Amino acid sequence: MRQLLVPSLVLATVALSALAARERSAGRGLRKALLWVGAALTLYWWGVQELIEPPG
Amino acid sequence: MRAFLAIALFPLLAAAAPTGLELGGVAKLQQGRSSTALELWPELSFQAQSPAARLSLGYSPWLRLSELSRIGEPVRLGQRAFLSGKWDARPGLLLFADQRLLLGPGDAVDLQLGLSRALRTLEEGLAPVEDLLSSETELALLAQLLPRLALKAGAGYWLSGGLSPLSRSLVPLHQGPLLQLWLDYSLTRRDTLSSELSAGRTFGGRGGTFFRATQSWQHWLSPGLRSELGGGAGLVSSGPSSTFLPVLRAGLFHQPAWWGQLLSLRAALSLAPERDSFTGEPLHRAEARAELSYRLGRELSWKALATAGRELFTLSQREEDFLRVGSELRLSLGRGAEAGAALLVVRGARQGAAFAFLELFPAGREER
Repeated sequence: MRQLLVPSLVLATVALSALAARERSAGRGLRKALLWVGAALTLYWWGVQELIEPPG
Repeated sequence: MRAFLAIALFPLLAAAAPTGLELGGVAKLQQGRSSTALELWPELSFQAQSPAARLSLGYSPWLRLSELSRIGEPVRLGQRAFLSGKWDARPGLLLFADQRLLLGPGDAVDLQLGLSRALRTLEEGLAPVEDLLSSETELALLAQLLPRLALKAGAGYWLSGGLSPLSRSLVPLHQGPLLQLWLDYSLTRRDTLSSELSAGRTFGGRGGTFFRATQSWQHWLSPGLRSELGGGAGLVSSGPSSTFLPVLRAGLFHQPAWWGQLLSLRAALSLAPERDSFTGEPLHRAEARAELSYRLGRELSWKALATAGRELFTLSQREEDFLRVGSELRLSLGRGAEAGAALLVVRGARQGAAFAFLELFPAGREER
């Protein structure tokens, strides 16, 4: 399961951060904030997975 | 040493604090059957608020000095961090995000003085686990779909268990997602129909799957008195076997309708599949629960709680009866400070404890 989970979290963190950084249109505050919250949480869970099962 | 450094840094950080940074804490003296311990939980939190949103970030180390009668006992340290956000995104749509992290000895997991959580920790006897990790994430939304129809949806992911091989042999590491969906429909001003769907999956440990669908009816007998009756079905799956289980719920809740009302009473019966919060194992729990709180003036309040029931663990086929009784007296000292004493008894593990506590928190602090 870890073989799928960690790469998925890494990809999700990068994708959500990129989308949040690009989101600049007026009136899209909700979408931008949700993308940043999603990026922060996937980054956090990536860290937790590394803590419980360090690579190698 | 790390513990003393962490605590020494708190006043320095608070002195240099920008607006919104707050310092608080809890001190608790606990007398168990054979030991005495002093626990300290300083808490540093940051609050940001706008008309539509509120964000809280916090960090709290946990310090335990056990066996005060003996000199040289090592100091034990745990860590807690939390993030909580609430956003009124648009009329009729509320968004919530909640993240909690606990890391440390097993007895540091219970960082709240809430009676039910303290009782649970005593019963589980988690003290021998030296490095326990617990992390919970929850995202939820509350939407008013129609004038009479409200939706609440939540998705969460949690992880719990020991970090070192020794700790993992005592509390296996397990994790998994949890999804919940509620629909509330107001039939009349006094009657509400609620539909609830919950599903969870546990990987690792004594993992399994549970699913629960419940339909309930709530009726307000008076502005402060609510009754609830519900039923449904659940599915619990552990390993190759799956079991269908009934869900039943009945309760009577008397809540203060205005500030100054003295008595609050909650009584409930429930039968439902659940997930054990420490091992992740699916279980079927039948429970009777009663809570009584009484406010004696503005400063003094008393709370009593009794829970009794039976748990059937579906994977290990264990059956456990439990009885937990607690009582707490709390005195408000003003400016966010409260002091009190509590007594807890757990029959299942033949444990009990008495403790005195002092809490110092800003008056605007939200209950967590």
